[in-house]
This record gives sequence, structure tokens and C-alpha cells, in this order.
Amino acid sequence: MLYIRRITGNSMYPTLRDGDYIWALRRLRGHYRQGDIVLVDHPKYAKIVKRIQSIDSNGLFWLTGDGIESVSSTEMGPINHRQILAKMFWHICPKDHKQ
Amino acid sequence: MIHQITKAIDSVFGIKTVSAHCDVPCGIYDPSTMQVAALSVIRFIDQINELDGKELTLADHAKLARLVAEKETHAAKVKEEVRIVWGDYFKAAQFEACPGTNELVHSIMLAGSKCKQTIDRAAGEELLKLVNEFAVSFWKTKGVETFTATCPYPPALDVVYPKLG
Repeated sequence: MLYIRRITGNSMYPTLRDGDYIWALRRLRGHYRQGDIVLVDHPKYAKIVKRIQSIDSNGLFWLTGDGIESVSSTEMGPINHRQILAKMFWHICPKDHKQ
Repeated sequence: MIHQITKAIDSVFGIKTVSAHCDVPCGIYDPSTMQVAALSVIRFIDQINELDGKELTLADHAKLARLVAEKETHAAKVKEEVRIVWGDYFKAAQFEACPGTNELVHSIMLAGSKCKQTIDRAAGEELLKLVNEFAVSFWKTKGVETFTATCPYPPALDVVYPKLG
């Protein structure tokens, strides 16, 4: 499944900024890797975009935000693969946002 | 260029959003904002009622329109401020310390709406009373004692303040 979403907020700053757009595609289990930027249906924070910080020995994913404002990995807690909706593969931002 | 095209598509079709909000509750919660808003509602009701029986000039009509608008804005603000503290700050521990908070918050929502519908001062006073109760609960969860004093400005009504320092 393909997701096109507009970013709100700056917890993924400077990688993603408020108003940027992303394209993301659902991947099969086992195809999400550490460092991937993913769309997550989080039980507490609802639909969020975060980076996979690590995958523990139980196969659970720990998330992080690139921005200093992001809530910590511990506060987000581990999530399972079913809660990951898709992996970002294209980031659309204004020209002056490009790094 | 691609961003501009996507943005244009978004403005027409509405692309869904995904949150990258800071997600960090700032931790700054204080019931004073809702108390001031509730006092403002009463003050606006008083000023509206001062116009009663008067032959209104064009300037009075303009003033009345502003007073009504501000009364409703501040009644909505009370609801919004309470909703934030209740929704973001109150968790299991706070609910345990202050049983009845959910009912109190619901009462504030109803009282706030009533203040938008009426120019009855009693409705405003009821809203302030409930907000003061909420303030007592809030400060209790912080382990801070409170006291009640008359606010030193119109409408000069009792307000719950924290005993700090």
C-alpha cells in the first residue's frame, strides 16, 4: 500500500520538516531495518513518522525522532511490525530545505 | 518544483497528515489561564448588562458586539484550557488523587457552553466556581496548598491561588 502524507511538526527535524511531503510503501515483515524512516500507527501517539532506532532480540522495534524535540525512544516504547504502516522512500521538500 | 506541485495537489485534494510533532508535553500547566478567562467572562457579562435599558448609540452597538464576541471567546478558552490540563496532564495518579475530576471537567464544559448562550451573571459565577474547584484539584496533585482571595480587579470575585514560596 502506498501512503502520501504531509508532515506536521518538527520531531524529525532536520530530516523532515513541517510541511514536507513523504511517500511511503508498506513492506513485508523483515524488510524494515534500523535507520528506516517509517509511518507508525502508535497506540499512544496515533499516526506518527519516526526512525527505527533499533530492533531488539524479540523482534520489537524501538523508534526515535531525529529532532531534539522528539519524545524519547523509551517513552514511545517498543512496537511490533504490524504497527508499522510503511517505509518512507521519497521525501519532497521545498528547494530551500534541501540539505 | 515537485514540492510546489504536491502542495497544489494537497490544497485541492487534501493529503492526509502524519505527525512529527515534538510529542513532548511541555510540562507547563497552570490553571490561572482558565481562571482569568472565567473572570473575563463574568466581566463581559457585567459590561453587557450595564448597557441594558440604555438607548444605544452606534458606538454602543459596536461595543455590545465586541463584548458578546469576547464573552464567547473567553468561555471557549476556559473549556480549551481545562481540556488541555485534563487531557494532557491528568493521568492515573492524578485521577486517583482527585476522584471526581472527570465529572468536574464535564460540568465545566457544560457551564462554559451555558456562558456562551446567556448573559446571566449566575452562569459566569458558576463557571468560575467550578474552575476554582479544578484549580484546587490541580494544585493538590502538585502537592501545593491553595488559598482563596478576592482578585484585585473587576469583577473582584474569589479566586483560588497556590501558596508558593
